[in-house]
Amino acid sequence: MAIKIRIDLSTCVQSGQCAYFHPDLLRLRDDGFPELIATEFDEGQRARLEELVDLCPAMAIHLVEE
Amino acid sequence: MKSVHEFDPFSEETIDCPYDFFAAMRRDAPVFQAAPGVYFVTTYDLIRSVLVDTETFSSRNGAAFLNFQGEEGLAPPTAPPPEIAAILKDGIEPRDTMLSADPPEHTRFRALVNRSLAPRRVARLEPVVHSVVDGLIDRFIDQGQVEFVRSFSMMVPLTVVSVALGVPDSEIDNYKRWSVDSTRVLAGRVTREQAVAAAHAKVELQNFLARQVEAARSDPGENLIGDLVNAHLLTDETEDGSKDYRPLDTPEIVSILEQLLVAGQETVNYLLSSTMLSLLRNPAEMAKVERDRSCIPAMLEEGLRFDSPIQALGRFVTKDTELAGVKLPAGSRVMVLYGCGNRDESVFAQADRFRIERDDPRNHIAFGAGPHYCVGANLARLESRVAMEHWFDRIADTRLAPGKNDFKHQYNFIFRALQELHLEFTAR
Repeated sequence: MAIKIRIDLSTCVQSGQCAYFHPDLLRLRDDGFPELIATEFDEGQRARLEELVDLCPAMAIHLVEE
Repeated sequence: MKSVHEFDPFSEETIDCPYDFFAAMRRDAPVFQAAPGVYFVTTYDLIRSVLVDTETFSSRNGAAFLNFQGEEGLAPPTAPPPEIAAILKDGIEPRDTMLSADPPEHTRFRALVNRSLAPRRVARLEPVVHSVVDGLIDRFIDQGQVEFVRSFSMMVPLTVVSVALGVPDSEIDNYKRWSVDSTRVLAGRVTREQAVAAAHAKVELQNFLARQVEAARSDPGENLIGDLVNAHLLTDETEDGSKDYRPLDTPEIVSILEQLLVAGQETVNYLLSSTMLSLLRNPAEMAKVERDRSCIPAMLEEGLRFDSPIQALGRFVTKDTELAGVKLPAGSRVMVLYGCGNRDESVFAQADRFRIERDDPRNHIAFGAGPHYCVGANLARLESRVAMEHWFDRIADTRLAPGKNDFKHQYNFIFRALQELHLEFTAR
């Protein structure tokens, strides 16, 4: 089962924590909002993805299971 | 509507209710020169753009806090007078760690604290918050009346944070006294005696925190101090991806803790007292909360928007720039007025009304935006939600005590601090 990341840009506060900790998963655009580099992940990466979800101060990052 | 030039930004009337002045600035002068070299940024979009551009708008120079206390009105911060400086020498030397740093240094410090205040870590504190809030209500519930600020809204965060820091029981009373005394100076006009007392309290608090940090080095507990003692700060990162880390020294940890204490205690106090007052002034909104506790989180978000606890913070302009057609020379200071941007009608319908049901309750900028977005937002939300849940579960018919309230706020542009709120109620 693939895991995807969804970022809710309407609640994103541009803190930049996600791209700082996980530069291989996300980068910051010029306007300070993040964009995804990787899109699909497998079960083996779950712990790391949960850490990513947890570090967002605005709780704008969500995991979507497909 | 009065023009922006008809307001005295420094009058007590403006402090008690700045919102007409704010509306005039948003309309007449979105970037408003308030004093020589000092500009207010007033609309929602402009504020967000400043907060994200940390290269142009820096937090160095003490986060550009403005001196708004003396008779001199609004002026850049000055060094403390010799009498105060002599007292502060016995404390811990100040360091630029979070509030007064820019990326990338800021981000490296922030990363360490972010972990301790992440949603899942904060959620573990919920049982503690429940017992703290219940214990506080126990003390006054039989009296049918209470001064809400001193007995409740101030005590909730103070007590929770002391537990989160692992302050030993024997020191809790001292810790509370030092925190209250040392932060009072931030929240308004103070006399010379109060300023001296605040400096002494700050020194005692710093030295106490330094002792806690030293003790935690040999026995780190499962609390914020333990986390910081065990934390490793990124100091260097090379092209090939190798990284160097070092532990934090004691002055750095004390600096971080001091900022968290001020930011974490006073703000929740102001949020709870202002929101309670807004509910009392809007009985239909109060009735919604009485009927349905599940609207408490949205009610608190509206409280954050309507009377933002931190009304403004400063930034330092690093290079000549222009904002909304106004030239800002390098070296000038801007204050971003969160409390003003949160009343921006182009973003919030009926912005001057306290309305619990909004489409997007979290859209406010009371916690800021960008790299300095409030690191304690999750803890603030938890504490204030639990405080209000217990209040309305145990207390009915909350009302203003007749003749006792003057609704004065602290004389300060940065904090929206109701000084007292006298209430009467019926225990359920």
